[in-house]
Amino acid sequence: MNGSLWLEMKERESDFALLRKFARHDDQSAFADLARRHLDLVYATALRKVDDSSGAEEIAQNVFSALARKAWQFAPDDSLHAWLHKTALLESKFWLRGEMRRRRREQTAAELGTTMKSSEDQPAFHALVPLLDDALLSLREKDRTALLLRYYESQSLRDVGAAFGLSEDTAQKRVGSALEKLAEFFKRHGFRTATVAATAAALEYTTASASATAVSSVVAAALQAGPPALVGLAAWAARLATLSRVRTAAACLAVAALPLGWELKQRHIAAEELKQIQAQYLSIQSESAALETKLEGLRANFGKLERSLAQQNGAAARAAASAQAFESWKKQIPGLLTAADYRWSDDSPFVRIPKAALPELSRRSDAEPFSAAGVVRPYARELLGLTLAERQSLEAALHEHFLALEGSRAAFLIETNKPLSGSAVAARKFILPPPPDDERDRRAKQLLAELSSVLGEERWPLVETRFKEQNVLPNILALNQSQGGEEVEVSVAANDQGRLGWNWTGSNGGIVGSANGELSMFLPEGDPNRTSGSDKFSAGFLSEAVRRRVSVWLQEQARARLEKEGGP
Amino acid sequence: MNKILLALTIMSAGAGGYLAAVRATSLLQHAANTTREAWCVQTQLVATAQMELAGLVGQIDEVKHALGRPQTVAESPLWAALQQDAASRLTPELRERLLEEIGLNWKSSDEFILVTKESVRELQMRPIQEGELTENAATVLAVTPRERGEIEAAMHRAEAELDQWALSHTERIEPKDDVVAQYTLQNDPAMSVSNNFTASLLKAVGPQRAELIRHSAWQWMRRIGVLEGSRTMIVRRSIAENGKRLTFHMLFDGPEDHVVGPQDISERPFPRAFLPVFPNGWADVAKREGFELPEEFQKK
Repeated sequence: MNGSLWLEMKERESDFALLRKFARHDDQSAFADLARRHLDLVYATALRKVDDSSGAEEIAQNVFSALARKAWQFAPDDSLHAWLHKTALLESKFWLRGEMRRRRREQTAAELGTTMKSSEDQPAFHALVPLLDDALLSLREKDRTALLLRYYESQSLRDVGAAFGLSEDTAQKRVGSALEKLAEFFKRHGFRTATVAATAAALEYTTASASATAVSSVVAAALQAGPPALVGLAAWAARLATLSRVRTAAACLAVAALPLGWELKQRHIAAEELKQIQAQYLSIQSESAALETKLEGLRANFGKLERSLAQQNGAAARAAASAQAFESWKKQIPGLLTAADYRWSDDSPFVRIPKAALPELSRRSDAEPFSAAGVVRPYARELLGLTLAERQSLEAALHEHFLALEGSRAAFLIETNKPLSGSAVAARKFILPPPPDDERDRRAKQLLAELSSVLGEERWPLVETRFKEQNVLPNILALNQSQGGEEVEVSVAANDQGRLGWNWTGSNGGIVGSANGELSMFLPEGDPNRTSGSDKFSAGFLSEAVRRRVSVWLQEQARARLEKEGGP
Repeated sequence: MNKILLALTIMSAGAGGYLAAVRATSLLQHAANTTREAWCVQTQLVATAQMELAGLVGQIDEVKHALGRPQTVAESPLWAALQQDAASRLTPELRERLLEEIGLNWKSSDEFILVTKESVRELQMRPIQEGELTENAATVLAVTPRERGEIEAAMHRAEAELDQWALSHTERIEPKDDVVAQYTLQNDPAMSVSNNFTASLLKAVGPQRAELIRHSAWQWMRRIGVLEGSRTMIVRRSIAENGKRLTFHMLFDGPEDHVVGPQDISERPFPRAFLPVFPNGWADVAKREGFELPEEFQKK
């Protein structure tokens, strides 16, 4: 690779690449190359504005010094040409202000007139020169850059196209289009003769090249200004500045997304944690509620059980106290039998009776010791001082007596028809003759012997008195010799309400009696029309034999008459 | 400049998003912490509840066990019945059980026998006979001499009050037709005689023994004419196969209206109620009304 080719290749390096080398690596040769490449543009622009070569050089120095300072700010897609042109115009303006202040007493309007000659002595494009920079500034950056490259840096159309990444033809069209827009600007500002050619001529006319010494002095001055040492945020900013917009946006997004993403992740973790703890909380709440419900039930149950236990304990305590009191009381009661100062007590359920008073009591009493049902009456149990066994023995003897008596008499029961009278629909007569005297005497002796055997010689006289001096007890026990037979006339007739009823009249041992009732009480068990009372039918008056036979006859009548009619 | 604005915009948006995320995270963490605290509290409650539950189950088991233990001593129904009303009417079954429980029977004593008061009621004895309290009744009812004196004094007072009443409330009705004498003894509407006697009896022996005596006392009062209504004695002259006769009958006007007679005056004693007015009986009536008694009556 020879030197010219190397230079050519180096020239091909983009302005941005050179600026990056200078800004990042302090490559002064890169900056010198950049200054050489664009000094003419800056110098020509400044010269055109200040019309003073030394002033233009000073302005060029300032522009490149500014470039050196701001080298880090440039991005690949920034147009250095446009920036240089604009900065040159600004620096020119500053320079002119300073110069005008310095010379304000010396300069006159005539001098200015000399500087800006009339259009009559100059070609037509000269009139365009003062407005040329304004016209350039009015263009879009790409059009302005194309014109600056083409005219002030004297680049070929191919290079211009390369700078934009376009073909040569397209670059030519862009340069042409920019010239047309420039001409239009002039026309809008009153230069009717401004054509594309005149405009191009004005651009050609205003080109200028700086001297070689100017190049070295500009570079030296600019490098003295030098790029600042970029560290920390400035370095980051410099790096950022060197990025394209897309990359900047991407970098910022990346920088912004990192903490955001981290935070979002934290948020996600927190949300998950919250979700988990909420689930746990709900679970423990439901568990707590279930426990509470169970506890309530157990508490209620426990309360009930405690109350029951308290009641049981209370009852047990009362029972114990009661049993103790009862035992104590029981021990005191026998003392009544021996108490010398016995008196009637309203609080005691007992009465003490001298045994010596019992015969008189038995004789004078209106009550009998036994009932017709073969039961020892309660008062007799006590007055005779019967034990449970003695009482049961007496009652067994009485039952046996009555059963035997009834059994022997039932065989002699006579049943005959009876003529109907009044409203009677059926009638029957039952006759039970008195038992034979010898049979009755035999049974009487047997019963009395059994009774005296149980009672013993001390108590038997108390009962015997009732047999000897009263007539009621022998009648009750069917032992009276004068006792006659039993005759009962039974009839079935409609009563006042039109319902069928039964009626009997008769005598038993000389005692006359009668009774009546509804026939429906003799209906079979389970019949819905059956009324109660048949089990107690005439008990106590009629003998059992007669009572049973009369009941059977009335049951036949009830079945025949009430079941057939379907109601009582 | 545009890039800086873009960068600032993106960074601002990023910072805003970050702050929003931080705030959201903070809120979530706060909520999580709050929930965790509540969970901790709830866990403590559950632990406490479980402890209480275990304790309750144990206590319930103990109580059930205690409840399941058989009662060592049962309350005696006999004693309960006695406690309710010691002197009230016990059922025959309770009386028999009571005596069995105490072991009282004929052999318990040579001299005495213990019976329930209900037996004395059922005995239907007649404590007042022939105008006085019988020895037997006084023995059974443990009537002291003082009490007996009060009862007999009350009986005498009742007879005296009745006599006084008869003297002042006997009306004569003019005889006509076959009626030779007619006298009416007005009833005491206030029943003052019977009430006074009952009150005296109650005061003398108390309610239990007074109740045992009362039935017999009423029979006695009815015999002397206390409890009957107003009564009218009518004496008629009739002619029988064997000659002239004097008959009388009594009309009772009161709760139980009835008529006694007619009977020959010689066949019945003079009515007790009219004795205060006619102390000599029929002789005083005949003298007062001016008729002659039959010869056989005069012979009696």
